[in-house]
Amino acid sequence: MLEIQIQNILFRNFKKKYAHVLKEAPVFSRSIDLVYVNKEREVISIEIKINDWRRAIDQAADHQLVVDRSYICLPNKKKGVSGELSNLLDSTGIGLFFFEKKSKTIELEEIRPAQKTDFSWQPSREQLEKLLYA
Amino acid sequence: MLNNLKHLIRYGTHAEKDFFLGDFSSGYYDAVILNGNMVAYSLGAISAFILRIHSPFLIDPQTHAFQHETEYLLGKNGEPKLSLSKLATFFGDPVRSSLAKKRKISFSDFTSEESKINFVENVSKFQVEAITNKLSSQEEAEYVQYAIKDTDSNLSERDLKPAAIVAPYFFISGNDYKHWLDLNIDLVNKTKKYSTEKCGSMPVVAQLVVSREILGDESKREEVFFAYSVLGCEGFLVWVDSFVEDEMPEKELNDFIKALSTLKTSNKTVHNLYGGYFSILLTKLSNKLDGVCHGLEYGESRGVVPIGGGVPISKYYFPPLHKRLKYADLVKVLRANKWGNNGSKNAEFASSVCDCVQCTDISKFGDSKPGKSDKRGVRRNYPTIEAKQHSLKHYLYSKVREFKSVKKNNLSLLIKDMNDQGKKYLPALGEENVGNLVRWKNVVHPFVEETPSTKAP
Repeated sequence: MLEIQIQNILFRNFKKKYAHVLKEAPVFSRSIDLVYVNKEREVISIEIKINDWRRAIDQAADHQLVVDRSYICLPNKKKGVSGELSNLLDSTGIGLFFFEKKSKTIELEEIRPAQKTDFSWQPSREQLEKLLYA
Repeated sequence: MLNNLKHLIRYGTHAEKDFFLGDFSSGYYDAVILNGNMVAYSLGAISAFILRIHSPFLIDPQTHAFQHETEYLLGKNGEPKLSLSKLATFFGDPVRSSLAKKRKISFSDFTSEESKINFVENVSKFQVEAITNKLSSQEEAEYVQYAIKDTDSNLSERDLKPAAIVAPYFFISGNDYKHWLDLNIDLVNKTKKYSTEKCGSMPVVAQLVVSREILGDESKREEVFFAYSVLGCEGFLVWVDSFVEDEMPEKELNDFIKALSTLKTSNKTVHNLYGGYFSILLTKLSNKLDGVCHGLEYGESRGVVPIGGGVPISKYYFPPLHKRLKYADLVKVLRANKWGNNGSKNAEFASSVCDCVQCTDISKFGDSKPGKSDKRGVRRNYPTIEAKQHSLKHYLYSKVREFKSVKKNNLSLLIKDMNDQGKKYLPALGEENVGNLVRWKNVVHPFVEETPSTKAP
């Protein structure tokens, strides 16, 4: 299954749950795979990767400059979280979802909650909110 | 004269004209390098530009352009690119006929002495005469003559001719490197002869364009750079294909220094055509570089073969690291240091990073607009024109400061500064972003003792 297929399924699922959801939301010179506003009105980002979780961490760290909580979303390989990844999640405050394909849908499991960021780059935040609430 | 040219800027597109004629009109650079294909394609506009800049200039004849695969010679319509066709018209055979046949030139196309002599003459004449011929045939001719006679205008006929003739040259790489080397050497010698006999002994410079493979192979590197070092020309313009200074490992940086040491002799100048702060540092070392050229923001390295345009992204030239940072990385620095978004209005930012006018509005560097989604649905932000201009002005101010700093400070101090800045920004930016400073300082440190006036404090 391709990342884009996972992204599309998750996007449809999130649309049913939240009022403000975007996929491929442009931030800085990249785009966030999924971004939504939760019930606490926090802006949450999710970076989906099938491989190369280090790259996912890099991107999620950029998202932290703009959103309230930033997650990476990786396939559940039943091996749990490696020590290296676990340390990086702790030091960066980035959260982790595992995804698993179940028949026609994708199930998400929150493995590690993201810490709330204490910084937001306002020009980019305002641009993102404009798109989210449009 | 060539050794007075330390800071050269490449004029890449006519859109850059305003920078040369506006805020950065004087005192910001020593000379301008013009691309031959631009001169051939828009001779009128280039001539008008030369008339106004009152600055030494060189014309890169870009003869290597004809030796690459046809995908780089032909446009989307399958016909030769117009700018190359115009250049080929000036240069004549064998490049004109090979382009007409839609094939790349080979060293074997220069079959006779006559073909080489004619080629040298045409390439030299193009550089020396094309602009003056254009100006004397236009409506401006009367004005030009008047301005030359008017002592207040500071314009002389010398201003309308290049500071030197760049000999025709071809890229030296791959299995055929010896053939291209021999041809290049012959073309330089013939250009020197032509200049002596027909151009009042105008200075001649040889453009030495090599692959990283040649640079990394000690035997080939010595062979090529030594062959050039003994030529009778006045200087060299060096270009190593895709030599991205801030990404190069120490071995390649050391190889570059070795190559320059072989090439450089006391009476000949050496300029790096595409270089950044590392090259500027090398102007501080004995017998390495006399000057450095860069383009407007994107020209500190270049592939010989055009590389696709790529997606333009917002970047900020970060003076402490002497490299461009992604805008997101700049924001990480602001966050880590609690500098807010006031840029240089914040005294600590101003003293640590940059105090230029552009940096008073730091958010402007990241001004962007969401683009349309691509086929995969990916939607990116694109920098606005204003953001690009803002970023470019800051870059040019930064470059001028770098040249001044390298000239003013001793090497030990410059190394200490790289060391300090690397440590300072490591936590916010990671090794990937600050590693260039570690490599650069390691490579230049052995030269501290032998560099004049650079004794450690």
